[in-house]
Amino acid sequence: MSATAALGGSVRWAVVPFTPRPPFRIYAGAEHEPFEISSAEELVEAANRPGGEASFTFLVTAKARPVLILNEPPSAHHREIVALRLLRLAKLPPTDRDAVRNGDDELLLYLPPERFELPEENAAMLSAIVRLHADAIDTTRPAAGTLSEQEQRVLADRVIRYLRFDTQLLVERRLRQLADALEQRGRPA
Amino acid sequence: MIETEVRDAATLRVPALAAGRALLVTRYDEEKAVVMNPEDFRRLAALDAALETLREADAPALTALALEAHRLEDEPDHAVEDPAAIKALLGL
Repeated sequence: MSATAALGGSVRWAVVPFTPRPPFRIYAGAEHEPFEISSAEELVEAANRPGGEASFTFLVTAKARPVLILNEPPSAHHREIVALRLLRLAKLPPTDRDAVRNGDDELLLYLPPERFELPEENAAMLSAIVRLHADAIDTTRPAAGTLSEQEQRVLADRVIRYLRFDTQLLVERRLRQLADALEQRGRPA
Repeated sequence: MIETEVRDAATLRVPALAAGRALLVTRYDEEKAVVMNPEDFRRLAALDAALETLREADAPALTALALEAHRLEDEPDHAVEDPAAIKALLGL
């Protein structure tokens, strides 16, 4: 990956796994059919038995697809980012497509084709958050498009509200800081 | 609180506005611009600048200890892929 490529706010192609759910399929070598485990409880129970800390290779479906990346990798040694999967508008009936284009649904952020070079018209799904390693993102080609700073703020606000994070302490702290900053500005030099 | 007055752009003659009043200019139902008293504008600009200084001011840094936690927990162990071992471990 290019060390200088900015990821946050950009739409890029990446290898994205679907969220695993039962039945779980465990790889058992080339000569054996995968084991199918019907519930999470079975695996949790086994994990709590002696020797249960063993790791298995789970077969998870994934596909190369564009995603909207929300942040930069936190450090050179921890390079996981958070991204949103996209919705192809062609999958929707025409009236719903227009609703997405008009921004009628807060959880679907329209990505206009004139700004985002993708094979189809898309919207970012704020309710489809995925975690990816930076190396799973193709940075050899330019971003398909990038949100403006203001668009990223709007997106962050919606994601926080969708996840129902309790931001009371943050708001209180920021209000105190704002009051201090305004007071500093009001003082004569 | 700024009181807002809406006018069509075709009828617009930019007037002097008293502090605390704003003129919202529209065309074909789309909001095009806002005319406001310069003092109010400077007050909003100062507020905006103050808000800007607060951005990410208190984002927690990824410490050496937090990075060590990732090093310890993020990489998988050698995965068991032998059918007999999997059966034994999972009680299948």
